[in-house]
Amino acid sequence: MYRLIFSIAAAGMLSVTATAFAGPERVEFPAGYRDVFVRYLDVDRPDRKTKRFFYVNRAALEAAKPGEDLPQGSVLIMEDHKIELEADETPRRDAEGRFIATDEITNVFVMEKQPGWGDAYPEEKRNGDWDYAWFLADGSPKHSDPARFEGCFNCHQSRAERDYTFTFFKYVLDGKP
Amino acid sequence: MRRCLGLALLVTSLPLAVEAAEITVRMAGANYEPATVQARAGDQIVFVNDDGVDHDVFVPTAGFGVDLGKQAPGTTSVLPLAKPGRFEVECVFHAQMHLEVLVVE
Repeated sequence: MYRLIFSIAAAGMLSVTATAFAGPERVEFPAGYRDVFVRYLDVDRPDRKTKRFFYVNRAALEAAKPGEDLPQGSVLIMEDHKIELEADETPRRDAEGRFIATDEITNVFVMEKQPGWGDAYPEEKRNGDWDYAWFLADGSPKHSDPARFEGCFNCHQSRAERDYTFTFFKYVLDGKP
Repeated sequence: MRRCLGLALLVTSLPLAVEAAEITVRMAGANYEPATVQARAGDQIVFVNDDGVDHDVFVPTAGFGVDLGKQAPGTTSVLPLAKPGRFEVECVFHAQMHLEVLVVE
């Protein structure tokens, strides 16, 4: 009987512990990512006058297979840059009609996948084993309140069949061009 | 004289054949309609949200990436087609929405 009570209590404690550690604080800023990650996509964002660079850690890039969930340990980064503007504030474009990023980084969004991380969230919210964090360019957290990340979970839910990613799963499907 | 007139008509009509075109894609029923577009570099696609909910124009294809942001019902957005190639358009909010675009020289 005591063993049963102990087991229930221990399971409860584990659950509480997992919940306590869920959220942006367990996603570390990937220091030096611009040197060691691979930039696989640029996205112009006219409504915000920004350009987004997307990075993936090299191990995930090498292990990812078309149509399959991404490997544990995958780290994806979405880095927002201000863009060059003309005198009238319209975006300046390069020869291919693309925005030109400045070096000024305004946001660094990170999503990371680790074994069991999804267990900390209720099923209706869970994004597989992914969790999210939001940093400034210097690596300091921009937000640490888990409530600020509801939007990440909700939006990425729409891509459940792509392992909750908008861009990298597609990039792998396209043959990693 | 008739031959000259014909030649003049042909010459004046040639530039029209390569003028930039505007292609309309609608979003009613959470579908891009048409679902495939073939265009020339320099053309543009006008997306009309004639649906009752927000949509989006998001291109995740490498080399063509762009996100026009949330598009409310009753509004339009414009996607310039600056260079040749093939890419896909998706709605961030509705995974089933797909548009394939082929841009030729």
